Amino acid sequence: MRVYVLSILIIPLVTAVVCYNITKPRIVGYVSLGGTVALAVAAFPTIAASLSGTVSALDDTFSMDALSGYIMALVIFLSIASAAYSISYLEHEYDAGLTNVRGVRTYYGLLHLFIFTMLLVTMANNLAIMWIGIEATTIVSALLIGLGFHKRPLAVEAAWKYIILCTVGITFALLGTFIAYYASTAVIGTEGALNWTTLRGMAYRMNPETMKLAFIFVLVGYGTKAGLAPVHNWLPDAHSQAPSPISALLSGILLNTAFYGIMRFVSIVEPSTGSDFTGHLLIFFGLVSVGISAIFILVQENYKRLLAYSSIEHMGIISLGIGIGGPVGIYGALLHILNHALSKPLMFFASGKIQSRFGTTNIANVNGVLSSMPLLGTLTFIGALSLSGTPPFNIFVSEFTVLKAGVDRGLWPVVVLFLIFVVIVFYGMLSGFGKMLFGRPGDGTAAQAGHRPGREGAGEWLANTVMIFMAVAVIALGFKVPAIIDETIRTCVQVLGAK
Amino acid sequence: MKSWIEAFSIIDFISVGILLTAVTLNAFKSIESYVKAYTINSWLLAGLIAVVAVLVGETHLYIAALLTLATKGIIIPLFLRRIVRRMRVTREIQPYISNSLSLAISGILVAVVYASLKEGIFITGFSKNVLQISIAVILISLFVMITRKKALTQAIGLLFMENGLFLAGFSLTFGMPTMIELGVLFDMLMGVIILGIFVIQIKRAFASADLDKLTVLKG
Amino acid sequence: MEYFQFLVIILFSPLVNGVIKKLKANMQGRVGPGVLQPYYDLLRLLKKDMVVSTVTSWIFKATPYIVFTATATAAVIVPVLSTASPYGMMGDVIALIYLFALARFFMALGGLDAGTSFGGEGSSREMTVAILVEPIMMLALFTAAISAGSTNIVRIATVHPAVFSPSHLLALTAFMVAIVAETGRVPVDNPDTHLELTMIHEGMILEYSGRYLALMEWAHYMKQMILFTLAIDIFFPLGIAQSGNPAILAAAVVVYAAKVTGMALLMALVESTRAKIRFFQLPSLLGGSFVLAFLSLVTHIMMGK
Repeated sequence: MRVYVLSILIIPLVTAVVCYNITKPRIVGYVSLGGTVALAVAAFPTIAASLSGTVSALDDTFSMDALSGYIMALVIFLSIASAAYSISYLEHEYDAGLTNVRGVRTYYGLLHLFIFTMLLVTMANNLAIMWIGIEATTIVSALLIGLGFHKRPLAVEAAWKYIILCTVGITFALLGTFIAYYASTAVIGTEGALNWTTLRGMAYRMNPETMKLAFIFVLVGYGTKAGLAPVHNWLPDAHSQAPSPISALLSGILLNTAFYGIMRFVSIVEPSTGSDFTGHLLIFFGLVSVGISAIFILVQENYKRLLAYSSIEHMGIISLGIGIGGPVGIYGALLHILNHALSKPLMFFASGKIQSRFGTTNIANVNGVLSSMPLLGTLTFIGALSLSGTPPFNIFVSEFTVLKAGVDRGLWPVVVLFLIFVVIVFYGMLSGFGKMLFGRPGDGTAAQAGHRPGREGAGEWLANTVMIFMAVAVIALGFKVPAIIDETIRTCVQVLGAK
Repeated sequence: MKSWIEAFSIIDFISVGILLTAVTLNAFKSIESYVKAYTINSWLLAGLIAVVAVLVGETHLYIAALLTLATKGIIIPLFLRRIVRRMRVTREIQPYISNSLSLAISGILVAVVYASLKEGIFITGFSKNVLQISIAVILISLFVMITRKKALTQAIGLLFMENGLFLAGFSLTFGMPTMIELGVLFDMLMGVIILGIFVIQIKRAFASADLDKLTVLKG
Repeated sequence: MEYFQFLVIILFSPLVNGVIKKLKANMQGRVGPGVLQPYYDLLRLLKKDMVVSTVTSWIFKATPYIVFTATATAAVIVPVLSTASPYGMMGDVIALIYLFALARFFMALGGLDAGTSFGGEGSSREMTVAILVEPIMMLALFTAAISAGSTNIVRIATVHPAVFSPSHLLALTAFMVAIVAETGRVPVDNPDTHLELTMIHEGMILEYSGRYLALMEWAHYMKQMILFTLAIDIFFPLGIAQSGNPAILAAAVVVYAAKVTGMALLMALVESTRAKIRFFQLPSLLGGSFVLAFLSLVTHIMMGK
């Protein structure tokens, strides 16, 4: 078992090094894809074990339970999807002269390093190691956003904002971790005081005032990383300027790992302070996020930025779910994590293709995607419907669950506001993407730069397969949540201690 | 040795010194002075940890002091100096708030921190003063980050904030197990390196490291 | 003996200034004037005729006497060698600052009275500096007063033997900057020249000659020495005599002389290593010093020491 656990960490590192050293740009992509598949294979036993019980290794430094397994499974799934999509994306960029061999190698190397850091976060038992992992994800993803491609001033600006704002936030999170450590050493001494497994047992004995303070700092810190308003300012820039596969990873899973940190803290803080304190804070931030993103979605002119604000909205929904609490609320939040992790990357992949075909990220300049690229258009349409919360797609199900939890708890103002904002988002998303999908192509489109029809190599085929798979999952999950996923989420809810 | 340290309240002197270097960040105009202030701040921080190590007698604190000295006191300033030389820029251009005013505001921030943390603080760690000073340092460096225009100054403000945080954490917990401190320091080191890389990228992309130009992405 | 310790200041202040000049000259590689030169200057001035402008009023004639008397009174208040002074009860920090303010006020008026542009310039600059410097002095002295529990200088001098806490150190630094500004030394003002650029103190006394000039210069020397003594009393009064015991008094004399010489050395060092800053930069320098004094107060309140 220990071998498997360690291999989860070693494989992406090895892949990163190998990818960086390969000099042929055509091959690198496939090697990286192979790396992610190997990772999936190696991780499978560990994840399976963690879903039924706790797995630990290295003296309890790493420990995984159902929640870690769930998130890790998402990380790995999205890594495979991203790696597969990256092949055609980078091929296109390379052919269009936007990057060189060095850039391609750096990209793949950093990609796997990024995957490594996210895995570290999910596997960490120790709160400080979790922090180290999250800080490491910031650093590596900043590099991925800002470098690797030829001088793009906007990307550098976005990466700078990202790294400064997130590092400031994470510094506060570290302060919160320190305060939590202080509280726990006061109760049990220094042995294992930061280990989640230990803390889970004795959390109710910690000083509530201290833990409240710790939680505030941690919420501000990890909340910045998770894209909660009002500390979300870096998100639209970073997620829109990053290359599409990276945007998919950032929106799809990095924001969720930040929430993973918040959820762990909530389960430690709640036993001593009661769930009202954390609940109210989370609901507040959630509503503000959904509200602000709704407003900004209405005025967006750039479709990638639109998707970024949509991420903020969905993170707000997750926060609402955790804040409302209770088994239904948390179930809804966790399900929403999965659904968002399916729909958002689908949309980013699709928009990447639109961008390479039309050469612009401006909504006004893109027209008639459905007629000129039918497959892509359909997939985009499915994704847009899903993200705006339309039944019978998957996001509607999880939004509805969260809503139901709110109604059960009698939080009527919250429910009403939530509904209003969701309606605004629905309108904004569909009008934005509708403008792009419908109409005739050639209606004021910009030059269709770099498009070479008929260049349907293996990379294109892979990218399309990935997107089709995700679209099918999006639809399927809208009808019924498969038993295995349902089981997993219920176990996670138990792990988080909701009664 | 121990009683000498206590009699002369060396800890208080060092912590006020740390506060002072953070305040002087507002008064200087040249980036090299900022780097010097950071170096002194880090050395004082390492010194404080060492003094506490003597007082409490735990060996892992000595190691922590040495680690802090090595990374924050030596490696990072050297790296910063290299960046400054490569960027060939030495002066902060007119900040949003003039130096005298920002100096005054920092003083007021310090007073506000003391006043608000006086009552009802239930956390003391080993010294309430040190905790208050560390929070004041964090706020002052945040303030500096907000009001300056050069990317490198923002990065240095961030470094000061991390120092303040380190001090706060240290005063609360006497440091964490060495492994973790190592990890945290390594992370910060990597962060600094990345920041340095980006500062240079900004200069290349925008032909100046003036953050006023980094306002294209809006809305 | 304690009754007459103020004579020490009146009689020896020119000597202190001479020592500073000599030290400065040595540091700059010159021979410089002798240490007794200020005495010769004062005697020469006292014997000379006076030329008084016809457009001046009684203020011009009264100012030298007022300034000298006010400064001498301040000398009486400050404990120089011994804290067992009978005037101790009058020795309040606030009273001292007000006495200096009185002297300064009349000096400024005297400078304006002659109607020359140099006089007006000196007066306005002096007042600007005063506005900036007095808060620094007050804050620094108040910090020390709070820690000693009283604003009486004698009381402060007996409570603590030396600078012993960070807030005191900060207050001392701020006070030193204030002394440099008050005594008109580089980098605030250049006491050696009569150039228009550097005229603050020199500008105000430009019109005076003979006896009046002697009184004004002497008052200036006395003010300098009083400020030194004040700094010594408040921040490191170690060694000051607390009783009338002759042996202790003798020791106190030696210690005091050593401390004043140290201050003189410090002043000479500061003057030799700095260039005079331009007048409009003065608010920045003094503003920074004010923040130091403010921090010293806040630190004292926070740390309780």
